Amino acid sequence: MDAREKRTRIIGWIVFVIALTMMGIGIARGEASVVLTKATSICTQCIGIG
Amino acid sequence: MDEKKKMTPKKQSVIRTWFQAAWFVLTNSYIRGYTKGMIFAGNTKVICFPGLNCYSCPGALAACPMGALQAVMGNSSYRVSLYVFGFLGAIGALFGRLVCGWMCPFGLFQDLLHKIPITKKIKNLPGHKFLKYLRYVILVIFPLLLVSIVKDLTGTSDPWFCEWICPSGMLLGGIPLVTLNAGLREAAAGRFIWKLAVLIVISLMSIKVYRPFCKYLCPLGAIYGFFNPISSYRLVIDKEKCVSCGMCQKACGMDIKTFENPNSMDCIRCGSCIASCPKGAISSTWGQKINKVKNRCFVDEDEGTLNLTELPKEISKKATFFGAIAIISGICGVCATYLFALRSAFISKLTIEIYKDYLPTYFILDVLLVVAAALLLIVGIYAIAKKEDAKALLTLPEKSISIVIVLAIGYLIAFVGCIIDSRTYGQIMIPTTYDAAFLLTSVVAVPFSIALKNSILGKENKKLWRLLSVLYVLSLLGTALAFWLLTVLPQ
Repeated sequence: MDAREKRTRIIGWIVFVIALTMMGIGIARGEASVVLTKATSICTQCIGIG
Repeated sequence: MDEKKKMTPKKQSVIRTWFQAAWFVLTNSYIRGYTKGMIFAGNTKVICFPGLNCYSCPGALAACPMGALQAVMGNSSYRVSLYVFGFLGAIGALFGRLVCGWMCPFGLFQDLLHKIPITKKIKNLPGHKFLKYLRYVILVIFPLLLVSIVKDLTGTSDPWFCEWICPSGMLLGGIPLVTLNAGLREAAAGRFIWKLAVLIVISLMSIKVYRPFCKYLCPLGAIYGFFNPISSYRLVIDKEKCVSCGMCQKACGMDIKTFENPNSMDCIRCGSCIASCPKGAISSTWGQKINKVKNRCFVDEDEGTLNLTELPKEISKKATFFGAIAIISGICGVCATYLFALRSAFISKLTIEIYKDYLPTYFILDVLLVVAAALLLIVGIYAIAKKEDAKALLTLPEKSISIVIVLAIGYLIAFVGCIIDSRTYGQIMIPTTYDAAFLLTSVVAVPFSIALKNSILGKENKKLWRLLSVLYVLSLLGTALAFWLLTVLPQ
């Protein structure tokens, strides 16, 4: 594996870890419950009603 | 190893279409929604789909990432959604725009429309060179700027992209719900007609142009495209084999010069370039890893030839034995899921009707585990019956084992989902004997599957293997005992 490929892999995994951390912080802030509330009721704007 | 190409572009396209269809069916399997004109309200909707799948689709079991992003950013309590951006980042870092090519229902819809043979097909609209940046403009304006800036008196905002542009919401949610629900039908007015018109225009364009929404309008594809150069799944060009013939660009629906820019932000990872390259110069990072494992385990290092003499018998015996174990595990898992839900419903005095809503996803996961295990068992039986057909056996056990490993993880996730469900409804927090047995079965299934894979591929550690086998059998027996106790003892 050349240096460039290795660097790309490392960057990819760093981004993945940062993304998981962001998800964890978002869940701790209560964002997941906002998503759940919105997703479990009919989105009238999405279906062109309101 | 024989380097003869087996995959043709047409075969690749068929496989991808069927995978997309299976993914859509799996993730939109709330059948009651289609019959009653309602949507699923289970806890799995806290998770986002990877693709553009409206959460108002009657069958949808998870949330739309763009809708979720706008819901959080449009909420008065938040300026930015770390949860959804984190999710998009995690998916992007793993797959990039592979999601667009393999897991997006609206992508599937456009692919199917493009197959209709009623007009000359073109890849791009006139002005493609500039139009392809339009999706970034839409990303910045609709789901980000407008949602952040235009707020009402309560500090909340509408989902601007979903409200004015998203055709997936109209296709998967608007049309089915308005058709099935009389109340919604009466409320449909000007905006419904606007969105319907957007859907019709994109649909008509899709017949002639390849994936126009993905190329020019999709903000989700725009986000995932940023990750293409660094995602775990990437394309790799073998410079020694590549002759720059341009066959990859010719096969590419997104019109990308793959031999020059294999990880373009426009690439939806359909795999057509890999299948069409006459020199086999294009491969994927994941494909390379799989080939590396195959070559290491099945090539005689001294002679450099394929070692087929003793492997098939061992593979067949082990495949048969552990296929049976996996089937037992799958059956236990199915029973466990239903009994767990029924037990929770009984304790909380809620009706079983409500809990049946939560069962489809977990049930499907368990059924898939049983199917994968059955396939493994069939492979084993086939190998014993047809020992001379060793070459065909070389790939099937590996694929089956990979499926079992993935589904063992899914099995564990299903168990976690049951725990989340029970806690949401205020169930007893203290683990019971049943919970412990179920958890042990699920946890042991993962290393058990890995040990199974290693043993068949020639890396057997006998002591570990025996230990895991004993643990797995004990956990299955413990689960069976817990079932019996659950049914005979008072709650």
